[in-house]
Amino acid sequence: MNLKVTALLLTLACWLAPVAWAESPDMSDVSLENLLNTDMELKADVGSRSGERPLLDAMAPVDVVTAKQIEQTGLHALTDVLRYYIAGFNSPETSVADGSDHVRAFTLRGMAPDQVLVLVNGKRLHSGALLHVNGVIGRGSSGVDINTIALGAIDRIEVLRDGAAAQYGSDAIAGVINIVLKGSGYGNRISTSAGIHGKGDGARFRASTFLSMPLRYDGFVNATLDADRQQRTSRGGLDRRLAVPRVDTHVGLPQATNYRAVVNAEMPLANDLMPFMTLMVNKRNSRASAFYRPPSINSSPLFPQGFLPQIDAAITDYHASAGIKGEWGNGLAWELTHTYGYNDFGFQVSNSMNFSLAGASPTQFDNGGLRFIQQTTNLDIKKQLGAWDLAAGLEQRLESYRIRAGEPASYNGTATQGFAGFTTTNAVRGSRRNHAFYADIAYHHAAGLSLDGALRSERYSDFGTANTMKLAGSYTLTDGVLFRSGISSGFRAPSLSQIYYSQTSSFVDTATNTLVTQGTFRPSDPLAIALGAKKLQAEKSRHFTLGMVYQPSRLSSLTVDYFLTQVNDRIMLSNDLAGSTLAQAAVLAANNVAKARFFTNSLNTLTQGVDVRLNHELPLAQRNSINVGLWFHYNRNRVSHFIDPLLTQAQLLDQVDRLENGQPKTAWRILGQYRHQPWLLTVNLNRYGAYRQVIGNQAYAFNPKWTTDMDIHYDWNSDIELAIGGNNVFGTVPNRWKGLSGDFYGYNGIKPYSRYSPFGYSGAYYYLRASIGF
Amino acid sequence: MHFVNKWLCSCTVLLFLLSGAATSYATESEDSVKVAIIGKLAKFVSGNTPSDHHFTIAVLNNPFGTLPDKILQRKMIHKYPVNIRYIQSLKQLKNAQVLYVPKMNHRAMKKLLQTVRGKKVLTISDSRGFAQRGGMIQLYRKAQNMRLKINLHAAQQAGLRIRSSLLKIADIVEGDVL
Repeated sequence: MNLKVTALLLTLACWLAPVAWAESPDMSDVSLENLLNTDMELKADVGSRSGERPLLDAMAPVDVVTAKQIEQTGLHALTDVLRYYIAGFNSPETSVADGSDHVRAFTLRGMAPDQVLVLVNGKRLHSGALLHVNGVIGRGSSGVDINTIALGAIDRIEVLRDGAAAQYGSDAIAGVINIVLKGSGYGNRISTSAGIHGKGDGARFRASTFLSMPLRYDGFVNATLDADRQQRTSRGGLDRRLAVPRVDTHVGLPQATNYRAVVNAEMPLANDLMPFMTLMVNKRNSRASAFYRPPSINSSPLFPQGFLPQIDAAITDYHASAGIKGEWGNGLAWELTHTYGYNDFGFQVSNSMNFSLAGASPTQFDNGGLRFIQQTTNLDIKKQLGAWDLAAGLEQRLESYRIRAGEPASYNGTATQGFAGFTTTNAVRGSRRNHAFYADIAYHHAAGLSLDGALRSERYSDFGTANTMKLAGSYTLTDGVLFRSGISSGFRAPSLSQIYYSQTSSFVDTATNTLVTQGTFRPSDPLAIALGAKKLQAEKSRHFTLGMVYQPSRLSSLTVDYFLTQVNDRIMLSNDLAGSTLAQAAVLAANNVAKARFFTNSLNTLTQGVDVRLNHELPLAQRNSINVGLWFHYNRNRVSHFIDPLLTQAQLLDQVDRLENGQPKTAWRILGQYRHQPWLLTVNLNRYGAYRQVIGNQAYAFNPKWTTDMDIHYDWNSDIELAIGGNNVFGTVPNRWKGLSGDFYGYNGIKPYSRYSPFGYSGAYYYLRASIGF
Repeated sequence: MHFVNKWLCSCTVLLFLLSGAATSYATESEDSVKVAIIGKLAKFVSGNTPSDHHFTIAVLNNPFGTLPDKILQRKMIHKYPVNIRYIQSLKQLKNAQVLYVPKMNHRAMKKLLQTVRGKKVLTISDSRGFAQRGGMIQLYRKAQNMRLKINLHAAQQAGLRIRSSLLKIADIVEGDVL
């Protein structure tokens, strides 16, 4: 039986099965104990200012991942958890890509990492300071580092798959992820898990403690402490540059240690006031490598046998949010919040040298660092007036970005091998502020019609004003059949990293035997301006969604949503300009620069696709059940127009192909769960569609792949839970480069796999997990 | 790929084979569960015997639509037929044995609880902090399940007795002095 026929049968089985049990049992005949154990519908707060709404009544498609589901994955990082549950969420594992090895970029719908807005308890989470500049998925963007958050602190994750800039402001183009932290009612718990990859490396250990102190009127102070240590995996190929080829470059997961802490508190007072606060801290030390430097390019006595530069990242991240909310006697609810976000990324390189300094070179370097700070103040009000929900608010945001220079030995001359330090010319401090006003009106008619309209106006101190709108609606045709649609506009402000980032290094031009410069220049740099750079403008987007929800019974649901997103003035990092025209060559020569690149508003893109989610539950006797989820995502990204002559299809096959074909267009998740008290068996099948990577001027295709995750969970008693499982248990790896032979990239090279692989290339991971409540 | 096919086939067959085995309840709307629980809670409480041969559940500013009628009408509590009364003011509370209180601000809540103080009416709400603010039974959501908080002192003050089997599955809290 081929796969399509089988999938069709499975779908039909799910669909027809409810006919047998479409009638709900009489709720009043269910015992109180069983009512308290009944799983209620999932709700989400994101996507509407009207408060939590049941998922299947939402005007836009929303996914929710619960705390239970997070635990059942056995995973340690939030990017991996979302990849597990959300078809269309992509987060490749890169290596030998400088800072990108340490901060995983993620995308929704094949778009860019900075086109996803992340909230924590509804408050904007700052993006990371790191700018992905290597040829990775997300090149040219600074996304949010969601792996700073302790998994044990999370109550649920809401993923809105729609543009929502009119409600939340900049960045909400591909979607919004709202991470809701645990509130009142949770007990204390210690959890631990340990695992290892199938090849015997990449051991991982995690310990987590969740403590909750209840306060009066359902207030709480929750604290989560989480420590996570990951050994590296090694999947590199032979280095054929050596007389005796061997594996010498670290290609695989980095070695990393993460310490995370989260405090979440709400303290209701005797009146209607409620102070609240959230504090999240993450300290990460991570080690990856550059390519091995063989003796043939190294004449220094420091490393006569060659050396592997090791790039260490020291990442410190804070998110602190505090505020007070209340409700006046007339039912007007208000909330005042201030949020502080801080991300610092320090680069150190060890086991390396600066060739210019020869034998006098240090072998360890401080290569400088990046820092991003974001402070947001919000005042929100909302009121319900019969069938109308009214909301409005003000926001002020201050952002600052800093590059600090490394020690002189890290950038002087030919700079540190492996990663050039930031120079004093690169060092910068930049900031901006913006003010925003929004209003949101929702109407819910008893006949099943809901409408929502939102307007938002923002003024940025650097690029000006952005006005956005959203209109959405849903209509319940009959019980169990709902149609929904929305149109909206959005924008993404150029990030401070795109405005201020620069990293230049020097190398010896063998023709002239002089040092020349190359690298990334700010768009405001005179050199970049001479080459054609302009002041960056905001990306502007337009969205359309059309979908339906079908619930033939309380046991089954099917959602189908089409989406179309047009992004104009998309900001890209230009190609390396090396003097292909006489004018360019003259500018470069006058500045002693060999190659230069910078950010530009380069092109317009069109993204469209469909999300399908089919869920079915088959209840069995004695509170046992079978659950099946079948989720499909399709997206097609294409460049619709080239704005900037610096970036055209012909000039830049690599960047355009990455944008159009670098991420899978299709994704399947087939989740099966069988509960037989006290056991729970989970099997998750993932299909990742085909993708391509360009090397030189040739695109290389990579096949679709299936991976399988399994988890066997046992409830020893109400407090103790044990589990054994694995991710990618059959050790699937992507195919090697087909037809590409090379020392670095190629089926026989140091990097035999594409760094775009949506499920990495480290293979199977097996784990044991235990959790004790107290 | 072969194992994927086998796994999908197994799931398909399993679903068909088990199609007659379903017996109970799955994901329900939050409001349905709340209404059903409100009906159940009344069975664990004594001391509020009806005087008019009906067990009356009063729903203030009804947020549940037709669910109370659908789930509780034509049922019996303590051998009395259930009567659902939708009220807009406490003046309509007369002879009710249970009062559901919708979400409201603290000032309104305090005033309401002072009004029903001394009456043999079981007060139930899903308002945050309801039990500690002087209400008797509070429903609250924890993850995907409903949980209970009981202010035993408030019930006892009204002359109501709550069965120990209910107290075992609820959190007991101390309330404010009204």
